[in-house]
Amino acid sequence: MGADGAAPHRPSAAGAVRWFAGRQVAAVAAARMSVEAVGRARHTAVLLVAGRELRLLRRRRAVRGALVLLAGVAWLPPLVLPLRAGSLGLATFEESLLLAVALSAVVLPLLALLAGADLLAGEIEDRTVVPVITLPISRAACFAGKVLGRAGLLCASYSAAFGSVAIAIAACRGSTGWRDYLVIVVSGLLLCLVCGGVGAALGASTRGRVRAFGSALVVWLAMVFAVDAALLAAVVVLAPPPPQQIGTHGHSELAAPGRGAPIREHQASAPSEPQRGVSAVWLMALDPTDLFRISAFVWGPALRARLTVGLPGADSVAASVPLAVGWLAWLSVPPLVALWRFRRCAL
Amino acid sequence: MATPGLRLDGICLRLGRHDVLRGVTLDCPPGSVTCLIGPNGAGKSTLLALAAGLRMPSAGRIGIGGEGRPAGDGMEGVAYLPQESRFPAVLTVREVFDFACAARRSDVPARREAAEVSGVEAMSDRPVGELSGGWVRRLGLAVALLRPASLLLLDEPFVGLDPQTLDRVLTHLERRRAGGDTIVLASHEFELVDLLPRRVAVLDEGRLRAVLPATAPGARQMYRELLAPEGAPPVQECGHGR
Repeated sequence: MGADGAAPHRPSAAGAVRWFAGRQVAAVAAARMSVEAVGRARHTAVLLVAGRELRLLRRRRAVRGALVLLAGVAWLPPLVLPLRAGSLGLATFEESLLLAVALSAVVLPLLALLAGADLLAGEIEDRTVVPVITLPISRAACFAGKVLGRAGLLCASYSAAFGSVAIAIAACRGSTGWRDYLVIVVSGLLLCLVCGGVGAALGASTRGRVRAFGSALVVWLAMVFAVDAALLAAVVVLAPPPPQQIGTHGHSELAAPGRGAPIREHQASAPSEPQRGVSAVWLMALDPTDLFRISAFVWGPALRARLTVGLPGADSVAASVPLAVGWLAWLSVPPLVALWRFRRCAL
Repeated sequence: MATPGLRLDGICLRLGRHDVLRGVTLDCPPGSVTCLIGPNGAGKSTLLALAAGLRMPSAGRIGIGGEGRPAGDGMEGVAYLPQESRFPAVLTVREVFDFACAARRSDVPARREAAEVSGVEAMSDRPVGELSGGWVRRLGLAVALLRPASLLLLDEPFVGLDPQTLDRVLTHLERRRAGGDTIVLASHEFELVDLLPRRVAVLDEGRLRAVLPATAPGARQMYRELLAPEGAPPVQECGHGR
């Protein structure tokens, strides 16, 4: 009843419907605004944590050492190869490819696994993550921000190191073979991100920095040596190469030009070989380092011509499916595991 | 900002074979100061950590705000001061404080107020790694006291503070309470706690023994009366979370 004692206004049915519809529209608009506000807050939180992560990384000596090592991995192949011929200077893209693949497949996983293992384990152990997640920053936003900061620094440093090498080679020795080099660089970056994710999952699953680093080292040894050798053996069994092509130097010999086996054309393969080759690629996608090597060989035009042993008939189109699936799985599953573990972690 | 308050309903926490909390039910209404007291290992810090979303209870429900939204990490309006404040040693005080202000979206007056209460501006360019324990504590307080948080969960907030800072902190907490904010703190500094118009919640062996009103006598006296070995009632097992 109104304050003046007048009879209360009785709305008509149509008015009530309009009022109800108006309320619904307003509620939906408010909910949408609320969702948008939450989304904005999350983005801001992620960027804030990413900025904090970059500040932390910039001041750590170990990070500077890792960046120097990364630059060494990039510059070593073109600088070392001419020394074998007794000359100084830079090797061409084509000459640098194989050593770049071999070196990257060993060093990059180690660097990325250790960097990933430290992502959460260090801050959880030091309890410096507590003041972050008790601000209005969710664990998911904290994780995303830390990943963004660390992966951003890794990508920038990696691109700078390999980009500077590419520019130097192109300027001094010409640009022949640059596409293969680009494939190796991009695959190497994916390998870094995958191993970083695996390291983060290990760091979130173990208590303390030392255990995280220890498990990262064990995984690195398994990934680069044990699983790699096992998969290689499985591939040889699955798609046996001609006897004269089997060597003792693993993957580096598989595609070594002018050493051991001559280049074999795919047409010479038996009809069932393409299927067996693709199966072999699926199998090798189980190990990120093999995924990196196979990606470099399958997607690099010049390197693909050298790929004969173990993967007969696995042309770039057919092999791209398992490779793409493998990369997607490796890029997405370990970070999700890390996030799941971090969200359940008692601090 | 409207004060949400805190409601703990049958909270149990089991770690390994040990019941850390056994069915704690506590209502902290807006505009109140609730002081958790109890011997070491009673579960005071764990209860605050649960309310701050750092752990999940084995059983029970934590509600924050009038709508009873469950506690979790990244909650708007909730501030937490852990028993031991830790910040990355390589960051400066200013960087830590700026990060907290930006994350909490504190305005300039709120920022100035927290800085003045804690006095951290004097050390703003020093790396955290070079600070004494007392200054790290003050930095933790500065972060926890930032508005617009309206539920303050403070674990031993008076430890390591000099008398001047203590005065400022107590005055600030009283002002926040009068403004409608909810304050839950765990402390053994009974004389300081008694300076606030507080309710006292007595915890022992993970169980809430009593909640006494603000008019109750001094916290030390209550502690002695309720937790003396001969006067303590037997602890009942909590049926939740098994």
